[in-house]
Amino acid sequence: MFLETLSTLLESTLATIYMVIVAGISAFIFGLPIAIGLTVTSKGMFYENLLLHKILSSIVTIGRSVPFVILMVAIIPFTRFVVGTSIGTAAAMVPLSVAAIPYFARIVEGKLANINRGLIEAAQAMGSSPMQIIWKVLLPESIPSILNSCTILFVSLTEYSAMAGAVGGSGLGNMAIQYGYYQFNTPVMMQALVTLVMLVLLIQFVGDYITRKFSH
Amino acid sequence: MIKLIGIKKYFKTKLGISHALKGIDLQVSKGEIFGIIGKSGAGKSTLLRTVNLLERPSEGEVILDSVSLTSLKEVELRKQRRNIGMIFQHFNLLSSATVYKNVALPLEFANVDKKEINERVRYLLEVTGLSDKENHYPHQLSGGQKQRVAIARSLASNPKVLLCDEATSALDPETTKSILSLLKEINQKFGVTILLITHEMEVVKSICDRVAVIENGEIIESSSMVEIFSNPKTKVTKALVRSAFHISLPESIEKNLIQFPAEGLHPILKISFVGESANEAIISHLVMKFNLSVSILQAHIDVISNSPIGIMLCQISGSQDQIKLGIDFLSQSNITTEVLGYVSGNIKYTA
Repeated sequence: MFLETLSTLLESTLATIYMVIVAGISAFIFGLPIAIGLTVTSKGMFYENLLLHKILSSIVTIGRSVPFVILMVAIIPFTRFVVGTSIGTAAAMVPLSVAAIPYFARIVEGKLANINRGLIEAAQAMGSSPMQIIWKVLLPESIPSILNSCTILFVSLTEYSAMAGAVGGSGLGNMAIQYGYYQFNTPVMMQALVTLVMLVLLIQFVGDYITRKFSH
Repeated sequence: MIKLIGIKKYFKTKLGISHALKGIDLQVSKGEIFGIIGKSGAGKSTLLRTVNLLERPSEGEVILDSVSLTSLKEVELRKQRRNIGMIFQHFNLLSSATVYKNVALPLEFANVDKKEINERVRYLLEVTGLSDKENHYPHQLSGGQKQRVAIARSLASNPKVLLCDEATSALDPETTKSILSLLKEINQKFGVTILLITHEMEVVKSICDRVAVIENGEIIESSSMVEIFSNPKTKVTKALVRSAFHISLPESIEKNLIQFPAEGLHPILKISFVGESANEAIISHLVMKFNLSVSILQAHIDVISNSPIGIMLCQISGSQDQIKLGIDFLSQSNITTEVLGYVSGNIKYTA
């Protein structure tokens, strides 16, 4: 019984990990600059631009407010355009990334806002350019909290990937629903569930460890 | 070296426009240690930050070494800021970087090459006595050590001016002393002009050459240290000087002071001596020449800018005429005398 489903489990786990990593990386690549943009255009900062800040912030809020299930369906044309299909692992990654970008941007923005303004002022007094402040003060000082945000991001993505998978037809979520729930096969469902939980625990553990390594 | 001309700063608030600085003119000469003292909210921090334009004045001009900073473009201003070091009350060190990296930061900003950075940082750590702390992180250091790192960092780009924003206010008295003597040392060794703000007269007293008193966004008094200590003119300054000398009448006496002379009342005098007159035997003069009896209530002698300065509170008794002659005698000499009030009978000290 257990062995029969083992290959499905392995396949599903890999699909989940694949989805989470790709969506996580795109959230990081696009979300971090948005977070920095939000921070440096806020009131009292060196690129203060309240209009731009408001626009960016609104986009992030809208992105965050659309329920994920609806987002998945709503952006199917976009998903087709990007990956050429609307089902499977690749197709699940697109809405996952789209949802994760504003999510990550908002968390990191909150962390960056906690940076001591005095540090930025001190850097300005030293004759630094805004770019130097971002690279040599803002980012290095927030490495631990950005790492912490990454942990939160990956845990949330694992969660959402189950939903995306269920709709798109891959990953642990799909396995739990298709092979477990719909076929009244509780052991299969439990296998998928336990693996998901283990995955989350692992992410949290590794994330905490790395964050601690980088905290001074 | 630093010249502030007609500096005004106002902020728009919900209640209207609030004036933080109301037209300040200030000139600090090369190599001097200049103190600005005032209560919190007096505008001293805002004033200090206009010097390197962290706070852009609403009106007025800032001139550093004949360069008008207020008229510079952003990029030029950044270059000029390398001539102005700054240290802060809360140190503002990067918590993610080692002592070495913190001190190297301004040089990295200026794109100095690695080898030169290395030499400069090592040298500055030696000057500030931190050579063994190179690889420590700020959280491993005490407050005094953190301020030393900040001082080393502020000197990295070889500035002509050092701005100190309440640099010792977060430190205990012992550490304050050592940081102040380090600042003095830097001033003498590198010829760095120091402009500092503080609310503590002790700080001003121990290192400044000249001082300005700021109140409500205006400079109400500005002069040499000896002058301000021996002859403070405004009420605020007087209070500050009192706080530095710890000289004041006990409350019980202060309450019973009568402001006008009358028969049977004895004046209480505050006598300030400066320089040579501090060495003269004026008390015995009063006693012998005018047949007065003098009882000293409090006295304090200090050395400020290398000249002795003394403040004394005393009560004189004798005949009214003689008392008047005695006070006239004091006023004619190089001694500042102030009648604080009159009391009847002799003061009995109950401590």
